[in-house]
Amino acid sequence: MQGAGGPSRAAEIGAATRTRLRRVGLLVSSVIAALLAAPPTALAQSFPGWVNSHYMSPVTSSYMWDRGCDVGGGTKYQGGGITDYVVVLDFMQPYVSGGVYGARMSGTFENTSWIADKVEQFGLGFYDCSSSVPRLNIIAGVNSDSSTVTSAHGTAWANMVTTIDNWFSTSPHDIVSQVWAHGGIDAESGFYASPSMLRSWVNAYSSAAGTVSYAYDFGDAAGCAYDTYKAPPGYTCNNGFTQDDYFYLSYGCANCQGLPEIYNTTIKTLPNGNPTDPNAQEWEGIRLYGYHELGQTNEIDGSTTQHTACGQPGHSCSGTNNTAQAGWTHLYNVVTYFTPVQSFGLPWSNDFMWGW
Amino acid sequence: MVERLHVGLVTVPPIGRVRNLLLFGALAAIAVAIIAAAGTASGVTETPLAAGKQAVADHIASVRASAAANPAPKIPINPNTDSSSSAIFAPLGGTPAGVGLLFGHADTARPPTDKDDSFTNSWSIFSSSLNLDVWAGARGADAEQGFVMVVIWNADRTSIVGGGSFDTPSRSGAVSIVSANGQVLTLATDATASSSATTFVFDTASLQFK
Repeated sequence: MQGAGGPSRAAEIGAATRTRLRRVGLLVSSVIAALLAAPPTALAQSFPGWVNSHYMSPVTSSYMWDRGCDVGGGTKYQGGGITDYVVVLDFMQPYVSGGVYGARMSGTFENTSWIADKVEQFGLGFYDCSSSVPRLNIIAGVNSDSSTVTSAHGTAWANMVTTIDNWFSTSPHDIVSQVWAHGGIDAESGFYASPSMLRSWVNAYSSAAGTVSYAYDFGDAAGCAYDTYKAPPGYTCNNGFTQDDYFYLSYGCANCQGLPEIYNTTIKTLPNGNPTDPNAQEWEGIRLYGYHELGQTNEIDGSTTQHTACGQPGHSCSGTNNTAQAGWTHLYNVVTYFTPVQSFGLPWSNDFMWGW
Repeated sequence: MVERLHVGLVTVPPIGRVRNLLLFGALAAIAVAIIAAAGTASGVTETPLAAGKQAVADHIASVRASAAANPAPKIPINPNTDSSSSAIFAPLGGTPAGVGLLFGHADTARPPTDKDDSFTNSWSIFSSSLNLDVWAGARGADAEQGFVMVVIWNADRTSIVGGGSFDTPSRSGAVSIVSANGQVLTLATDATASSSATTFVFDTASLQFK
């Protein structure tokens, strides 16, 4: 280009270029200043709505198809505009009987084949009775109140979930466009299993599940620090669990994801005036621990509450019966207040009940 | 006529529209890169989804996309022929006691809703006419206050139809179920070096301590 315009033209272009670069620099500086001045925020998200999750008892295939149809058909519709459902089916205690793995509920043992069939029927019922819009994410879970929280059980559980997802994707019931199953565990420090047992379970699950499914931790973080963290293994929580343990179980392991319990009804107020509660703050401390100490952002997919279960006969839940919307709001407020802000918001909300 | 385009605080000199587009594209790219770097340095940027987790997400998205192209027909008729009342309950373990089965501490899972309370053992009835679970233990807020928690299910154990939680008449510590006669349970606290065990009788039919 220089040859076309001669030296003067070249000088002119050079001056113009420098001028333009200065102006570009000013523009870039202005844009950066404006963006950095504003705190990073997620787009404001309204409550996504909720459906019930269930502490399971032995039921029939027919019964489970009907219950899936209830959810898909909208008769269990519990919120405005919900199109992305998460339902935890908690089959209670991990158990092994005669070398066969499964779960123990209501005093009975059912093996993984039996459980897989019930999850499949629930998913099929949802699909058959829904429009083509909503999606259902089923989390087939167990709790950690058992000596069978072992790597062998984690492997068996992951293989079961893979069987379920294969069933969902096999004709004539190729329904995966709307329905997918994951595994899960209600990891709690008050239950039998130790952190090392739980780590073994989720590691084995991850190895066996590969790229098929996640393992959701839908448990608590009792006794953990609120909105804060320290060097590994972080603060100590109840019964010897640490922030590092909870981070690992809810995100750190290869296939782990979080759907934590946000039960506590004690209202705390964030500096921006928004309400939260101690359970949400415990999980925020774990999220901050993961980011600042381990360089990983714990992505929390939603909140778990037990308001419906607390209203059922026999169950006393003093101070731990947040509604689904309250639990979701309290968690949403912390993950979108502290940096790093969870930019995708908080997609899911579910609320436990016993049976149906 | 000199065409000037005002953008924020600066004035861009007259250049062609194509050059305008190129210039602003470059500006945007530079701004994004600098902001990303600044954000990382100041600790405000989320880290990307870990590779293993992203692989799961990608797998699901891929399978879903294929399935969406050829969805299964929706047939809103229950394909199962089993009846909702035909579930067969085969209790695992337990020692016969009265009209139910007594389960030891190792086989008594803590009800996950009642986080602070402690439970020692449980007793259950499995029958077509009555399905009932009783847990015994102590209140979390007051370890000296024993209590029982009763859950009454419908015939196929799919819905809770009754029950409640009931404190022992005296604060004597955690209780466990030691025996049953019909539907009446005998509960006892642990004996200690300084005191003998305290016993209580609870009727699961009337839901009352006697």
